[in-house]
Amino acid sequence: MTALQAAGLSKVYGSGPSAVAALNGVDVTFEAGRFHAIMGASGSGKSTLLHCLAGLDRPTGGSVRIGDADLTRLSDDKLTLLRRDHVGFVFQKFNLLPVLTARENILLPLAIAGRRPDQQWFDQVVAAVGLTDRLGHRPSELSGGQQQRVAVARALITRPWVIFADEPTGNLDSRSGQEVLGLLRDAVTMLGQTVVMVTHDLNAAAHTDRVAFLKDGRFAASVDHPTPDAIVGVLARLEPVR
Amino acid sequence: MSGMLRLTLRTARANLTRSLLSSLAVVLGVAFVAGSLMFTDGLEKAMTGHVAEQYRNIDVEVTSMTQSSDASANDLAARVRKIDGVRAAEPTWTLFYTGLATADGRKIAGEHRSRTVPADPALRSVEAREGRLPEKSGEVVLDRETALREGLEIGDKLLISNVGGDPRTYGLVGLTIAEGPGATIFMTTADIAAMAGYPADTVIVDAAEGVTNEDLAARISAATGVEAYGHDELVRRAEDAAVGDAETFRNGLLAFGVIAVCMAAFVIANTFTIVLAQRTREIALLRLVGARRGQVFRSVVAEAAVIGLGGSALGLAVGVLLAYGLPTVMSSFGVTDVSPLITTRTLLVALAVGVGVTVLAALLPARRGTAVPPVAALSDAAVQVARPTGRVRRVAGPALLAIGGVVLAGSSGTGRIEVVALGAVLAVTGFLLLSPIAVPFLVRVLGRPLALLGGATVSLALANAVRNPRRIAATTNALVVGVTLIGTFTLIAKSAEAPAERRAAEKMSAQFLITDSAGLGILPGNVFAALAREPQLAPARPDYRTFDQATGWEVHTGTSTAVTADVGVPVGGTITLRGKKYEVESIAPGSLTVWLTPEDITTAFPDPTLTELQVDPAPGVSTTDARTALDRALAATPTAVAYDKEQYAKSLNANLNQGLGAVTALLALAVIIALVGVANTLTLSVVERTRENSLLRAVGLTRRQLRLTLSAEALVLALTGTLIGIALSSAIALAALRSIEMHGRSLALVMPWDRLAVLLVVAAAAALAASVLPARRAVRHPIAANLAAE
Repeated sequence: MTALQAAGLSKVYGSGPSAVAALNGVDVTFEAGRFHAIMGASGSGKSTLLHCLAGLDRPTGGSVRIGDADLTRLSDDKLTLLRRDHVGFVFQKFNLLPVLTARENILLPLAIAGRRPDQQWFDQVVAAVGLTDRLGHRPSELSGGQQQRVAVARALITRPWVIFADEPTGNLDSRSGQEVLGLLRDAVTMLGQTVVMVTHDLNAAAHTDRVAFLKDGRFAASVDHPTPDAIVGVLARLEPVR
Repeated sequence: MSGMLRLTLRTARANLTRSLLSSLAVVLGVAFVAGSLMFTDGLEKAMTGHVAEQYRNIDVEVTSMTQSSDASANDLAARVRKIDGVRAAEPTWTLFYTGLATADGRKIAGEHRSRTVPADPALRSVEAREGRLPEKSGEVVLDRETALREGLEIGDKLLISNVGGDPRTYGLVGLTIAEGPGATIFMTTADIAAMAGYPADTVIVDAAEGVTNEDLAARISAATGVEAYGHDELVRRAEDAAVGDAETFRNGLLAFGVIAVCMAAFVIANTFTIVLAQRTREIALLRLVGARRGQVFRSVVAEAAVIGLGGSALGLAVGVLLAYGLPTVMSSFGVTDVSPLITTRTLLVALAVGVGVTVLAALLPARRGTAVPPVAALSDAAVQVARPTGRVRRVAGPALLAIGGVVLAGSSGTGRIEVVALGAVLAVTGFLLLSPIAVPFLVRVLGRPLALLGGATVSLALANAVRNPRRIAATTNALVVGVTLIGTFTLIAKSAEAPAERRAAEKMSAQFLITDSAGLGILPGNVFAALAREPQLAPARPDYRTFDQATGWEVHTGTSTAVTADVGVPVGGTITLRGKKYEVESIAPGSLTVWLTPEDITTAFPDPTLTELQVDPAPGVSTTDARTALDRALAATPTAVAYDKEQYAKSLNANLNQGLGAVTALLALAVIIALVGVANTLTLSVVERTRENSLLRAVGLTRRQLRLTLSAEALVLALTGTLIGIALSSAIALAALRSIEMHGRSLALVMPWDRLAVLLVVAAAAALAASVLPARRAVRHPIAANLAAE
């Protein structure tokens, strides 16, 4: 089943002669219940693609479908509500609000929606990310790895259609990074979530089920069940070392 | 330094919006100071010009200070005429509290004055702007403003009387310029002499050819033994008085200007603190590449100077508008024909105030904000850690608050308002020191019900509001001070006003009270007769007063014969007044006063003063009909006014209300500046929280919800500041009222809930308005770009 689909997606910054195309007609499909990675060199458009797929940015052309919704046809409010109810986010940093405790940060999307949390699900998520004894702490009292685990828990709490992760391990030491990747992996395997992760870390990409490669704003290649070696091979083919 | 200066200017330009915001407080403060100066300079010029005009054709003025009954000034004029060098001399009168009504009896309220038009054209300083000057008895000229306001035209008939005198009908033949707040009426010497009923104490003189005014004045003084001044001396004296008046007015306005400027300093200091905190990394980077701390400090101070300069320039421009707007407001006080005057002094003062206040206010924040270690540039401190409240504040704050409270409580019954002021300053200062602890606490308490209503967005707003206790405290403090000032004045004025109703109720035994419009307690005697002619009115009860020369007793009107204890006659004894004997029926409090019935007074004394009358409708006559009859009876007496209880209480409070209105309007500026501070803080917080807000938007906060969050933050800040201000002002007002408690007569604190509610609503509305721009800014940010931004 298709969870997420982009067709002819393009994003142009500026206009006239100074216009820069960050995305140039991307067609890509993400299967539900799998762990996807998007890779590419700096400037290949992978972050722009993620923002457009997640409804954080508006593409200049083409369409994005999450489930049965066409994001490009939604108003800002509808898009916001869709993100709130059906999309989860884990960013590289500034994932959490400094004035809220870990518990409040996890429950933030539900609080904004004015919905009561499902206590059983909350306990399960918190146990899964291993934060049961840290819920009353503020972000400044948590380590980078713990903050990122709070972010994962927040992404899971709404049981979203898709979780987007933008370099989730970029700011972490390797052990914390492994933990966070493990959590995302578990979310896919055990909870049946769909995760789309932008990364340039080979090891992170190797945790996924499928890697899509971007080059110059276009879909360039994909690898199923990637190993670090296979990824290096594709990257070498796309960006030949001169 | 020139390199640093260039950097400073670039920084100021790059942060133009921020700079404009911080300068807005300066603009308002400078505008008020400059506007006041321009207006009062113009006022001074108009007033001095006016007095010079009034003495235009008077060479010498002779004024007899001692008014003795035999030295008739008509004789004085005759004596002056005989002196060598006098070409012409005429007596002249200026009568105050003149009563004025249209021919059909419509009374024109105000402090009117009547002046003389000399018969000799060479002695006239007045000229008709329209029509002509009065030439014969029964003709008058009126000032144009009054004529315009009351819809009077040349050819109309007017009823005019001296206070306590009988009115006469005059024809309006011309219009001239006003001299005071009420109407100015000019009439012939014969008419004004008849209306005054006493000889003039002033004689104006036209000098003959070949005599200087000063020589003639000296000659007249020597010959008559009465003071005489030459033209130049007269103008100088009158101008000094006018300048003094303008000066008093200017100082009054500037006192409020000082408050506004202090408020602006508060706001600027807070703005700089926030801006510098946000620039920590930038400053650290400068330090990293080798800038000395002093250099960075100086660059910040220079930035403050630039902002102050820009603010002063804008403030001057706004001040000009203000100065042109003031005359329209002041025209109700009789100030007309004033065009603002822009002097070099005003320009310099405005610049000095603007730049000085901005730089001074920025010094402390600059010192703290530039004490950044170079390594801070490398660290990743996204959120500013608020400095904890210092020990000095923790100790001195409660101490001052307590001392202030004790002083306020102890001022009770002392009758010394300066003790109250001292207590108020101590208590408010104590509170301000303590505010970083107290304000966030109060915000949490006040915000709780709001959070229950508003849900997650409001909870978030509250958490944001209290995250930096110093910042929120500094923001609300300006508001607290402004509201405390307004609140104190309002509470004291309203408490002082409340007894007026009681006084009116105590005084008025009948439904209507008739008194003179000037409140002097002098009515023409024929009013009593006029009321007696109206069948729809019950017999009026007059209040006569007089003085018995023989005994030295004040004679008042009572229901029976009474005396004060010091008259020395017991109940049952007899007193003798003008050869008549009265039996004393009671002893009353007071000093050397006797009370007789109205009949006894009018029988015994030839010309007692009628001070007031009380009258009820005749049995079976409605209040409305009685009122109509009353107005008809008083139509021919311009100086007499009839009040019912409510109108009388209102008239007692008229001055108080006018004063309160003016003070509130002037203090409102301070509150506006404080609200600018709220907008400032919000805007800067929005800049600081760009990424947080983007995150919130990413996880599903709609634009509306984000706006709501900011509105709620502004609202809770404004409400907290206003409520604290009201609480402080209640304490101060209570102490002030207690302090003047004497002889068991005290003023109870009256809480004017309606006005306080209005204050709260206005503050809340203004805070919501203040959050509009910051919210728009927050909402407009593209989410993706800000999340990616470093």
